[in-house]
Parts: sequence; C-alpha cells; structure tokens
Amino acid sequence: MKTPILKLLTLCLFFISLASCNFWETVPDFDVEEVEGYRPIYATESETEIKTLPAREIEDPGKIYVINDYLLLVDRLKGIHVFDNEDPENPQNIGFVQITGSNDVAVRNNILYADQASDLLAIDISNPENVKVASRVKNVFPFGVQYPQQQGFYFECPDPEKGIVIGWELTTLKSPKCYR
Amino acid sequence: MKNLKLLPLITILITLSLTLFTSCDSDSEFDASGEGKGGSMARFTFLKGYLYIVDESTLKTFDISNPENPSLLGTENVGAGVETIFPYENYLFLGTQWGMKIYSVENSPVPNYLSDFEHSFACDPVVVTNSIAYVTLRSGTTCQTGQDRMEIVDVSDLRNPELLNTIPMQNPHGLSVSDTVLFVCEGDFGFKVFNIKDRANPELISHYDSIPSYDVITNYGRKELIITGKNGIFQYDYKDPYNLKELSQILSVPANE
Repeated sequence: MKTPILKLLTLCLFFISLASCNFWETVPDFDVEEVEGYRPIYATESETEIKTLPAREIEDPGKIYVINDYLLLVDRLKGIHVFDNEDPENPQNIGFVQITGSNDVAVRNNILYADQASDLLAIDISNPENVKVASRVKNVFPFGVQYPQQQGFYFECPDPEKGIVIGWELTTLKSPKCYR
Repeated sequence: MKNLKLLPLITILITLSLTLFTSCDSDSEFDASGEGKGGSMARFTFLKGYLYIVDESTLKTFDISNPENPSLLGTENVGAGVETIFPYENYLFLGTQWGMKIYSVENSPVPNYLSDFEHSFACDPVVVTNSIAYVTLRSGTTCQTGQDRMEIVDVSDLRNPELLNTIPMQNPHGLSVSDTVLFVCEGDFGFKVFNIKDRANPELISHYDSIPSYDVITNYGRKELIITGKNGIFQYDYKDPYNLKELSQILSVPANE
C-alpha cells in the first residue's frame, strides 16, 4: 500500500525535476513588456527600386559570385557590389545594384538572378549602368529573409504590409512576438 | 583536287569567324555571358542549363531557356532546414541542418532523390570533388550543438555515402576545393589551407587566423583565392599553396572603424 504511493511520488518528483530542467531553454518567455531586441527597417519607396547606383562602401558583406572578370558581393538585404576584378591586385569598385531584401545572386547569359524578400528576380544586366528587371517570380521564398542575423534576441515580427525589410536595428521593443 | 575544292569553304568559314569576333567588339566592355561561379554558401546554382534554388525546405527547378523569364518546373520537398546547394556532374548536393542530401538530374531536369547522409543537427555547406564530399558542420545557437567539424564522405556510390574521416574544426563556414588544395573558412577564426593529395586525410598547411572568413571562391585557372567575411574581401594567389601571396583587400566599413 505504501510502496505504490512511494513509487508514484518518486515518479512525480522525477517529472517535476525534468520540467524544471532547462530542456526548454531555447523557447523564450514571451510574457515580456519591454526588452532589448531588433526592429525591422523597411525600405523606402526609392529604396525598393532595382537600379544601378554609384559604387559605395561595403557594410555587411554576404555571399560572393564571380562572372568572367567581375566579382559580385552581396551587401546583405541591400544589393550587390560590382567589382571589376580583371586585375585581382587592384579590384575596382564600379557600382552597386540596389536590390533591397536580397541575400543571393547568380548570373548567366547577362541575366542576374537575385532574391528580393519572397520573390525571385531576373535582372537584365547587359547594360550595367541601367539594369532592368526582366521578370519577377513571386513567392519563390515563402519564408523570405524575415529575421535578423543575430541569434538569441527577441525581434519585432516583420509586417509584410509595411514592405520589404532592408535591415534591422537594435532597440527597445514592447511585447515582441518573435525570437530567434 | 579535293583540297582545292575545300579552299573556298575554308575561306568563307574564316571570314565568318572573323566577322563574329569583330562584331563582338561592343561599346560596353561588360561581359556577363556564360555562367559564373558562386561560393559554397550559395542557395542558387545552375546545372545543365537549369536554375536550382533551395529555400528552407524545398528545392525548386527553373527552366531558364528563356533567361529573362524563369519558369518553375518543379518543387521538391527536401525536409526542413536546407541551406546550401552544390552541383557536381549530374548531381546536386544539398547541405541541410540534418545532413547532406544527394539528388540526381541524370534523367530529367527535375531532381530525383538518391540518398541522405545524416549527422547531428548542424549547419553545413558541402563541396564535392573526385567522388569525395567535404562537409563542414558548425555549431551555434540556431545550428544547435554538435561538434564543429569537417566530415569527409565517400560518394563514389551515390546511394550509399560513407564517412571516411572527421576533422575537428573551430567554427567552419564555406569551403572550396581546387585540385589537391582545400580551403575552409573558420568564421572569426580565419581560414585554413589543407593539402588533400590523400583525399581522405587532409593535411593542414596553414591557418590565416586574422582574416574573418565566411565563404570562399577559387578561380582554378588563375589559381586565385577570394575570401569574403565581415572585414571584406581578401584575394590571394595560391600557385604555391604553401606560400599564399596576398593580392588585395577590399575592406568593409566595419573593418575600417
């Protein structure tokens, strides 16, 4: 009589200790009022245009791609730096193709394929000073790139109604609903 | 007799080729014809004229016979956490958070699943050369636990990949093979150069620990190495892999601060 109760008690204690164990450590407590985290920065209208801009400095280097003598570097969520790399001892920063919300690039036959949030873009770069979007395939990336690079932070969930996310800023959030 | 008859034909052919070459002399020197090359962290790749894209849990095939208008041919569900794609012969090697997956496009542009090489939860790009796959596995918050390492997998039988060796690493990211040299990015820990003459037993040649390295592209023809990381782009000549010669640096704003 006492033994089964003892066994039951031991079992209960075991499960309670498991629950207090940090198995669920990675799932945060969303019951927070104000906390430090990342807020999405949405592109302005002129920033969403796909266009060639003058060469600029590299801010957040991402993926790279080489095509013939050119070296392309993605500046995360902003666009693609184009370098003339004919002389690798002296690469020339010759321009920037603005593609907000991009992280990937590939080039074939004068068409530059890039992601823009959830879409795939085919951009005609045969005239690099004046690139033109040839077509857009929607919803190729249904998840988009809708979270900041940094891990272990709360962030404000991006609102697709507000447009394309171009970056993230560290700030004080009120009751964020997202975490990474 | 026959030779004389061929002469006009040869003349025409030569003239035609010359015309083609001279007409290529356009105002703009920008030439993005043909296909380029991405790093091992790429989510996009071309294979046999098709565009393949991986995203989260799918592998999508695009027909780009009309390059300006990619058209979706198929979407393959490949399991959660697919991050990178690498083309090799008639195959696509996918780096996922659960392992390396191999697909075949031998019989059709829409890939056919061949096999899986699973490992503990980690983030990994993969490169393949001479039937050996080099896979880096990185720990980190979203990549969870699991030792930082590089796995060397025999893929001569694509349906049965076999682990040959495991090399401990610090925080491996992208990688690239060029003949008998293997370059592996180690994130904030720099990048490493390995001699892989013995394909399953890489020999560490050097460790450049001050160059933050996220991904790498090798230009086999020019024996040129291009490393990208948070400090910017660093280029090296690797004609002598035991003595890399730095060619240039393109620094990022954070590096200059």
